[in-house]
Amino acid sequence: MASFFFELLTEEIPARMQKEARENMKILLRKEFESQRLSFEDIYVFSTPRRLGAHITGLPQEQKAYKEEVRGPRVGGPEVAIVGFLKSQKITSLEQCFQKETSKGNFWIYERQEKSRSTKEVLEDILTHIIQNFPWPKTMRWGEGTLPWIRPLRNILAVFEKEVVSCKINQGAYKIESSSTTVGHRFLSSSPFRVLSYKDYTEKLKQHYVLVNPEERQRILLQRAEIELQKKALSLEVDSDLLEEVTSLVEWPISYIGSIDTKFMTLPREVLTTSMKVHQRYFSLKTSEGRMAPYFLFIANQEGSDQGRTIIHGNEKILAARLTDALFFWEQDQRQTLETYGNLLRNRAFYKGLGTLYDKAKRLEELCSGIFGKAILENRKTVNSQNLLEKGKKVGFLAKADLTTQMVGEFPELQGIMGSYYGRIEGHDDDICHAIYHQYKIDMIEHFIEKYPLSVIVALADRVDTLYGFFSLGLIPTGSKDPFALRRAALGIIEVVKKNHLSVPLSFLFDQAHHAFEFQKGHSDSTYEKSRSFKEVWKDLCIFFAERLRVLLKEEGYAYDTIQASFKEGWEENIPLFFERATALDVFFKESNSQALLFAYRRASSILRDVKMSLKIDSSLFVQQEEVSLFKSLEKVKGKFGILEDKDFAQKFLELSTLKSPLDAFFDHVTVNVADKAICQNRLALLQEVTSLFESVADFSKIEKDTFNKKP
Amino acid sequence: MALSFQELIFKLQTFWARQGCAVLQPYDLEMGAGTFHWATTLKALGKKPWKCAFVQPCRRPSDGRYGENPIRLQCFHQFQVLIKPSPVNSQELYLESLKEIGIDFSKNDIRFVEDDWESPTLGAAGLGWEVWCNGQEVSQYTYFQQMGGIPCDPVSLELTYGLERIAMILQEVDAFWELNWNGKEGLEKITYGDIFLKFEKQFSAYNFEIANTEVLYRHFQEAEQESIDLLEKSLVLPAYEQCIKASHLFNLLEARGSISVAERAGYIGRVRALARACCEKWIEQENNS
Repeated sequence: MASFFFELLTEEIPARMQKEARENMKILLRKEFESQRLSFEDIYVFSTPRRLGAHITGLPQEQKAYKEEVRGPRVGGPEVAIVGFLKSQKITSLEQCFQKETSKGNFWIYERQEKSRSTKEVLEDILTHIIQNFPWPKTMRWGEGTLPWIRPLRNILAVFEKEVVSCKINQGAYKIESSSTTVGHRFLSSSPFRVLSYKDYTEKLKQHYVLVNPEERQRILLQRAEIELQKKALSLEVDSDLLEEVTSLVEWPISYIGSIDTKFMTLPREVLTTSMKVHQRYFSLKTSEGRMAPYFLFIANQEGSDQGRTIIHGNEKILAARLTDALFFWEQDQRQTLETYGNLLRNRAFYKGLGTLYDKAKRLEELCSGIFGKAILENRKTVNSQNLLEKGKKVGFLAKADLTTQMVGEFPELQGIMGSYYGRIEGHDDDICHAIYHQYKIDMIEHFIEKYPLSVIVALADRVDTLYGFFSLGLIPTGSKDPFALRRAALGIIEVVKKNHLSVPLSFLFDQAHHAFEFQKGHSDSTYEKSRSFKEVWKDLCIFFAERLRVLLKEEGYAYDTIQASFKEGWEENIPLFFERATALDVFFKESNSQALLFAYRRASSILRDVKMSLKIDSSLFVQQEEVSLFKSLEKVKGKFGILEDKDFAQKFLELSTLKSPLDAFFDHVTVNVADKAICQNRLALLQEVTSLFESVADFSKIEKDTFNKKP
Repeated sequence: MALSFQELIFKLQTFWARQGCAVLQPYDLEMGAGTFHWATTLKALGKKPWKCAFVQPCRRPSDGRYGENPIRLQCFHQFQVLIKPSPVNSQELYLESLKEIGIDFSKNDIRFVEDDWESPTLGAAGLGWEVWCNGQEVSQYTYFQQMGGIPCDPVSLELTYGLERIAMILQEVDAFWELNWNGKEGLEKITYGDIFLKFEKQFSAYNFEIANTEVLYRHFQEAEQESIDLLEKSLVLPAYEQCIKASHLFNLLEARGSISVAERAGYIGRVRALARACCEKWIEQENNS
């Protein structure tokens, strides 16, 4: 068994692309090997900022032999067929074929073979093909070359069983040719060296300060970090995204800890962590008491020869510069009230045709304190709501105010967070500050309706307003284009409504948004323009929400049929109920006897296909016992349904299952389409009763036929 | 001893002159970045090889802080290099230039961190990196893929060094006004602040408070129209110059707070249209010559 390894030396590959590149390389290699009939044992793909490569073991010395029997025309068949067959197989005479006797007769067979090429030769093609077709998210050209690659490709190392696998890439004035040489760490050990085995490669690279295996690099990074942390009795909360990123920014990870001037520690935690993580890729640290430490941890690509003093000092300086700005903004921002900042929103356009952000704030004020807010509060168990609506007015207006502060201007990711801090300092009520904070933290808004109802109201009001606004302008997301993040807004609404068990109809919420827009139109300083009617907009929104719900359920693993059936008419009236229905259907469909029952439903449904009218049952027209039994069972189920609530799905399915035997008996012994019209209609009416009972629970009419072809 | 500000410039000029670059003088016009110089934008288009290097003072009115912020200036200096086609050993050359100006690779952590540069006003895009030195950005390193909406063939290497930032690192000072400009000590020393502090103070006041927005807007429209007219007469370089003027006027209007977020896109679009037209005309002339 032979092995092959290669390394594509590239100018620094973006950190965020390396993981996907490894995954894609593995998929590509597998596909290539399979199509070229090369068996293999294992494919291991590695990357560093400057390298993308793989090690493949268990390869044969040559391709698997290819033999295929192609059946041609019948022996003694027409000349035309034989000529056509010879042509299609690119052969000249029947002497290259043999005859084969099959159950269908005697046929001409041609045995097609392909010569087995040596693995080394095939690898040359594969490597070249991969380089020319690699799916980087973004590509560039360089110099006079035409090869699209993520960054300039500098060297190709490719070795199969100690021999170089030849690969040439044309770059205009020069060619990149594969070899058995590579280079080490750019600064610590950059001179080239040769390797003839993968073991040689990884060991030599390590000696030259390169850790080519990402998992190993991460492990060593953390080990080295731990040593530094222990020296100062600090701990690190591992942020896995940041860790992945910094691991992909170095070939030789060295950990250093820098200090933060205590004057900056008065800044809000989020300001510190955002400056550190987002801009500088630093890790924030905790003291042994669990508080945020005036230190940060960062990863360098090499050890500094002066114990890292220059490196640490440089990083401390840049962080201090950023935090100086942040401190300046923090102090400056507090000189004005949130209300003032809110008024400054007059200068911020929301979107052409939808007015300014000030207009939005006024609409939110209306929504949060009006019928919209009231309807949401009605879902609470606690009663006292009046005070809340007054607060709703305030928080609706202030929710977006921090967008005009300097801090949010510098750190847009801190919107909402800064508003809540400034609000608190100003002395606004706790729940108002929470609501400003929570509006962008949907995942936290679970069971908030009792404790922080304002947060629920604001989060919904903002998203409903945004969605309604853009949809009213006809700006509906398509395929991959969703520039206003409307899908996210809709998902946010679904999540908040679901997690807080709000039974408010979606149509109601959007109608309120519509009224808020209409109300503004009448005001002279509003820049909102005329748009479509509520009916049209709501229709589009309904479709949009249905799509989002479908995708959500699919992601959670619900079967297609279950998802389809969940969309009973009026599904949008109660989202939590919608999800409960889906869950109940899921359970129901997994039960073995549900299949039989569904089969019966389907049978009834198909008989009723051409019946347009609603028919009434007349018990005096019953002739057979089976009709009476079915009728009695139906009455019983109807009675039970009358007592049960909408959400008692499990109960209802149980009740429906009692219809199985009477239905089976009915279908076995009763003929529906008899000559006597009255009796026929009556029997159809019975079936209609059956199907409508089913459909009152879920939309069984949407179940695919195939589910029923498997007879019990 | 660390390089003075002017020695830093001399060293970079000498280094790139050795690589065959034509060391030019800055464009004698206000602009936001060295990229706007015709020696970058226009020369990046077309097949003819080109190598140049120059200092470009850059005007960014919105960044002014009256000379009170130690690291922010409304006028700063970039050292700009353009080499077409991009050399095979581009990165190595760049690193050598850092060594030349005194950056010790055994003590400093140099990194190439993904940054794909785009200029909406120029319709330009490239792939490359921010170069970090101990966490601080010292250069922008870009392989131009398109300019004025036109694909670059061959691809050019553009290097932009942030001179103040680099000088502050080399001289180990924390505020720009402390930088030693002429390399002398004692009474003969001339600092960056000695030269530019007044500029920062007075221009910040002008940019943020005083500039006459009506006049600025009128000039914008006139520059725009002139650029269009000149292109019709096939005078690409004068037309491009008017485009640059319009771009700077837009920056001034923005600093004055005259341009709302909604209007911004419109202005950028107008400058971009001028830039694109100039690039297209340029390439037409290049192809015909």
